Formats: sequence, structure tokens, C-alpha cells
Amino acid sequence: MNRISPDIIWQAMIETVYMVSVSLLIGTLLGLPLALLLVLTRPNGIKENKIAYFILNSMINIIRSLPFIILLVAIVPFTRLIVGKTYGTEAAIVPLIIYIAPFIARLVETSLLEVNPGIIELAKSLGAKPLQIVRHFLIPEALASIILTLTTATIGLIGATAMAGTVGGGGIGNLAISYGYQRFNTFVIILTVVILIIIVQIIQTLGSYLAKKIRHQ
Amino acid sequence: MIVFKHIVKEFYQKKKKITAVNDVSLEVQKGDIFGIIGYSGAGKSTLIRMVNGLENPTSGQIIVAGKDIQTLSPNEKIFNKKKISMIFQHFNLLESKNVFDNVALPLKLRNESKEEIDRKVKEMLSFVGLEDKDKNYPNQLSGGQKQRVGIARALVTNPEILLCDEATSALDPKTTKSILKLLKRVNEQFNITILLITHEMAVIRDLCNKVAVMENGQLIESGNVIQVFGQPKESTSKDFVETVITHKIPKDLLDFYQKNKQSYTLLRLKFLGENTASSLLFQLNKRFNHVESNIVSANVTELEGTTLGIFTIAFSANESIIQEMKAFIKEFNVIVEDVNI
Repeated sequence: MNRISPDIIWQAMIETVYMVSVSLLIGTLLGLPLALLLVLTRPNGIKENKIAYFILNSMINIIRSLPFIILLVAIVPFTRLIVGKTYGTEAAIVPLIIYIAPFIARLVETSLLEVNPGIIELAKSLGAKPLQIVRHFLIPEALASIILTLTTATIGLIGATAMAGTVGGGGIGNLAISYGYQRFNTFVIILTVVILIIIVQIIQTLGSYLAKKIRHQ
Repeated sequence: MIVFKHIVKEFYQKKKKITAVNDVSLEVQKGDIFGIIGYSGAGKSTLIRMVNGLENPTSGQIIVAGKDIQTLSPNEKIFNKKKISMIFQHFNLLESKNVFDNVALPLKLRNESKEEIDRKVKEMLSFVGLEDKDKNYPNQLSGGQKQRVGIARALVTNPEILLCDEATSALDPKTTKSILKLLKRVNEQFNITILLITHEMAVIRDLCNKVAVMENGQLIESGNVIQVFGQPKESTSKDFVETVITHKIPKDLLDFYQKNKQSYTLLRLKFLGENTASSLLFQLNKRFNHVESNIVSANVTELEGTTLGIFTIAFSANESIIQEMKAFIKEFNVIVEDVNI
């Protein structure tokens, strides 16, 4: 079977968009608070807490050091617990979230640390409480950088979804591997790569545009 | 208004103990524009940050508006901070917010109503002369305009004390002058006590009524500006004064008087405040009309609304006449010093 129908491609695109958007959304919801905790509890942070920082920091490092394909298999029991099955698109989303949340946490942490220390000093001089510092000073000042960070995370996720085929996740990347690579169909490989390039270009352009708009430059 | 009592601040850098502030006692009175001057690393920055709790002293007491700030509860501390505002060397404006929102920020933290915020912010922007820039973003402003925004943001909460952390050090001389003028207006119009730190003596000269000189964490000299400028005691103070009031003798004159040391004696006369130079010089020349007198260098500076005149004069007279002249000069309440060349 060398021919590939537009339906299959369309279906794969839907699967990719579905996996990426759900795991990006939940990954961000988990990653942002983690990043804030890292920044607040770090040595000389606004709410310095050595133990909390150490635990959080090590956990993120451990998860981030696992190759995605290993993580995917290793957490199968956990996946079953959460979504009730170990195969299919939903089953792929669980490891994708666990993969991307610490990645987002680390990248957003960097964005937050880049905020001019003078701004934190200003916030303290105005008597702002820690939550006010986060809301009125840290996040607005880091927002443009956070958007670029999330753009990077999204593109990283698209790469990771290709491996989601292992647990039947589907998607464009899976199409490239199962229809193209494993069946020696060069056309499918080229087609899927072109589609991926276009998606990545669109996401990056959108991210850069938004960041630029927020920076007021 | 602000009293520092035996303030010590120590911290450790790579296990080495550093004493940033070493037993400093100081009093700033209500309505003062008090300047602390020192080279970088003198400890002045650490000291000013203790007033609003950005730093805590290792030992000693700080009393702000009658309250020992270390004994305050966290809530009272925040309340106290609201009476104290600060402006910064690098302005610390939020790049993501426009001028209006930057100035509104302290009021937003206090959950004031939109109408109140609108009214107060507009009032302050017009006070600093930026009413037409409210929609601009910080990166569209010049350094001087950025500091004006910083000042508007500091004043919008009606503080009693304004702390200025090297507020003009990132600005060019012309902009510095206009910001200093604005700070003077802040002090006069709103009766706000200003405590500033700087390494520029010109800032002290143009703005302050009191000055303290810091070196290696210690306070080496303090007093009214006119006193410290007229008679600096410590060598660092003298160095600072010389950056704005030079009584350096021009080289060719110096050569001449060095060669003719036998026939001339050089005296430095300092007129502080109301003493006018002209009357003394006239009386001096009338009384000692046989003595040749040449002005070698002269400098008149305006300080706190009065003048400080420093004249170096060469007199051709013998030792006993010189003593007589010194006594005569002192009768006019003018300070007279020997000049060694």
C-alpha cells in the first residue's frame, strides 16, 4: 500500500494538534506554578526555602533526564490510572504532559530570573506582598519571554508526539514513521516533513509576533 | 524624621566577613534634604536601604517617624513603607507598562478605586511635566523623562520621606540639573524629607542643606552643607569639596610665588553666608594701605541660598603685619587659613 489518502493525513494532523494542545495547556498549568515556586524558593529568592527548592529542583532534573521514549513506557501504570487505558491518543497525552511540564518549568524559570532585579527591589520598596510581586511585577515583565518559551515548548512537543506512535497516539510524526519510514515510502516522508516544517514555522512566527507585541518595541 | 543609632551591617562573602556599615549614627530632620556622599563601596547604599527595610542592620536602631522599624509587626512595616518612597539610579520602570500604569502601580497595590488612581496619576504626571506622555512606554523616553516617571510614581502615594539612590548618576549634567530642580520643588511644595546618596558633590551643592561623608563604612564627617563645604576636616571630604570648589592656584602664579616666598605670604579667606567679601577687602586695603595685595584665586559658590566665597590672596608684608592682618580679618567673622606652597 503505497498510496496514502488525504483522510489519513487530515486525521493525523487532528491527532497531532489534539495531543500538542492538550498537553501544552495542562503542561503549562503545571509548569508555570512550578517555575514560580522555583524562583520564589531559590537561594536569595523572595520566599527562600532550601528544602522545597532542593526537592523541586531534583525532581525536575530527574524527569528531564529521562529520554521521552523511556518515560513513555516507564509510566504506563500511571497512565492507566489516569486515563483508564494504555493505548491511544489519550494514553499518549499523559506522558507528554509529564515530559513537557518540567521542561516548561525550567524555561519559564529562566524567563523569570531574567527580570531586572531592580524591579523586585522596587516592588519590595512599595511594600508589595509575595503574591503581588508575582502578579504585578514578575509575570508582566517576563511575559514576552514566557511566550517565546512556550513557543519553544510547543515545537518540542511536536517532536515528542512522533514517538507517541509507540503507544498508539497517532499524529503526523507517527504517519512519517509507520507509512513512510517503515514502508520505504519516500513520498510520505517528504510530505509529512513538509507539513511539520509548515506547522513549526507558523507556531514560531506567531510566538515571535506575540512576544514582540508585548515588548512594545 | 530618620534616626540611625550605632548602625552596623556585616555580611559574609565567600566566608570572609565584610563590614559594610560600621557604627553609623545620624539624624535627618523633617524637611531636610540630606545627602550622604561617598565613593562606591563606602556603605551609603546599604545604609539608605535600611530605611525602607530592603536591608536589615546587623545591630543598631533605625527610628523612622518616631518608630523603631525593627520592632514593627509585618503589617505595620508595610504601612510604614507606604510613607517612604524611593527613586533609583536605573529608574526601575516596568518596560511592559506605559507611563500611566507605571505611576498607577503603587495605588493598584493598595486597591484604590479607578477614579482615585486616575485623578492622582494625572496630577502627578502634570507635576513632573509629563502629562502628554501617559500612553508612552519607557523605551520611548529619555533618561531624564524616565526619572520623572520614577519621581511621579514615588509621590503618588503622598509619602513623607523620599529616598534617592544615586538618582542622577545615570544622567547627563544638564538633565541632572533639571531633576535636582524638580526634587527641590518636591521638598518645598510637599514638605517631603529627602534622604539621598550620591558620589557627586555637585548634587550636594545644588540640592542639599545637610551632608554626611562616608568612607569604608564609617561616617567621617557631617553637618550643614555650608559648614562642610567651608571647612572640611577630613581628607576625603576635602577631596569631594575640591571637585566642585577649586582653589587651585594657576601654575604660573604658583611658580612666581614659590620663587618670591620671602616677600609674599599667601592667605586663604573663607566667607560663609552673609559676610560679604567686598566690604572686608575694602576695609583691609584701607587699613593696611602700604601692603600690596594680589588675588591669586577666587571662587564664589551658592549654597543653601547664601554664598560661600573662597579667596586666596598674596600679601607682601612681614610676619608681624601678617599677624595683625589675620586678627583684623577674624573680626569680620571670616575664616583665615595659611596657604603652604
